[in-house]
Amino acid sequence: MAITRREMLSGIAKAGVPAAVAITVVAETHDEAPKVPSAAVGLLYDATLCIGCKACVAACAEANDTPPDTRGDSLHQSPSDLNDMTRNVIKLYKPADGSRFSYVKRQCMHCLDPACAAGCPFQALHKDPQTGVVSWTAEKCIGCRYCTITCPYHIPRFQWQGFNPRVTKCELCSGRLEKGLQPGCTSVCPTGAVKFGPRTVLLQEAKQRIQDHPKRYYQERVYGELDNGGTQALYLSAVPFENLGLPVLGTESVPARTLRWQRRFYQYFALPAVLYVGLVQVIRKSLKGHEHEMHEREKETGLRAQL
Amino acid sequence: MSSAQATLIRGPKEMFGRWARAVPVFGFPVVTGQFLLLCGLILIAFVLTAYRELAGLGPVSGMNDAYGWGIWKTFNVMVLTALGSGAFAVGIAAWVFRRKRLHALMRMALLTSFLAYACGLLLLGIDAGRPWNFYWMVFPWKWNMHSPLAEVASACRSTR
Repeated sequence: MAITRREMLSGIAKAGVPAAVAITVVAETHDEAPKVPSAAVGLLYDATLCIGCKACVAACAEANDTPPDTRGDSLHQSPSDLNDMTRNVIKLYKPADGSRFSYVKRQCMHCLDPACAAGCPFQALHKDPQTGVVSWTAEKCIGCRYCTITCPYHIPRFQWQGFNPRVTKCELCSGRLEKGLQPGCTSVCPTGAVKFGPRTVLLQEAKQRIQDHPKRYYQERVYGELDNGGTQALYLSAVPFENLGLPVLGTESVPARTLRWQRRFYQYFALPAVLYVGLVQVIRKSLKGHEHEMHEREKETGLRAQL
Repeated sequence: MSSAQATLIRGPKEMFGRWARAVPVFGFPVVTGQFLLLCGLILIAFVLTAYRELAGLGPVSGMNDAYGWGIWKTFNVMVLTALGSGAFAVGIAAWVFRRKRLHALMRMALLTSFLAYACGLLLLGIDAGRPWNFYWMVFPWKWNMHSPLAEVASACRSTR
């Protein structure tokens, strides 16, 4: 009963470290930036043009067949944030020192590499390969709320009341898009603060606006061009994006940070399987030895021994 | 100590001997005051569970959009999984590192860990909002193997 650890290690090694290493090496590294879907559509929101009329909030509820959320004062549709009845909301950033204020429209960013879809254990959140719209499927969702935890923008919202809870998030009015209509929010915006279109066109227009109006926009850049691996909702603002709830995430997407290692460790479940087979070998060997000893002890004492 | 127990166990050495030979060492009454108290607690829990399934998570748990998991998932994963992994640790010590004296513990350890994991799975059904969709678990190709949550779940399952 000496060298047990060595036996374990050699058992694991014999069972297939070469195979596991091969799979780990062959596994794609996924370091390249996420691909933009071929027909990627998106939203361009310019916070300097928004007048905070909330027409888009009402239009969003209408387009999605949702009753208006009047829980605030039992009279007006006045959600304070996204919730189980609100896919789109206008919020106000107003610093106490009286410096520049700004409205912000919050809805799903439709990330090129969505963290919600990467985290969902049953693929209930799905990014459309053509349009890139991230949508939720009721038949696959188990209600674990991981999407609400993992989204860096805190967009999907869980329904806390009722026996059949749903996850509510902007799905870019994909039903209306199929009919050739615009999403609810962009169809009513009076100032053109939020526009709908192909992502490439919107990105070009945003850059043109930055060029036409030097010093108007924060950092002279479009939020969502590269942030979080790129998003399909693009933002322009005069105040820092962080203050509008758009955190600094870097150009690498949130899921890419973990997937780089997860793909290696869990590709085809190879490494766990190898570890398991190795452990089974060691346990079989030691159980055999223990059984032998047990029989000897039974012979010696005449009592039934338990293994 | 009841008289039945006194006649069964005549000292630690005797007790260990009987235990090691898988002779039941308990000779005490099962339906006691404590047992009934715990049964009452379980009954209350069943009523509350039914209320949670009908009314939703919000009214029972106090969770909201800011605290999407609260203490529920934390309790599920960090308490029940930790309790359940006791058998895993004992099994590694007994079977891999060959501590023979721990073999007698393995049945007890497997039972407790089975109970802890079974409770964990049941609690998952209460904690998840749409537990009827758990049937997707039967189809591995429907899993999202890159989900950290799925990996924790499969790791927990594989220790069983």
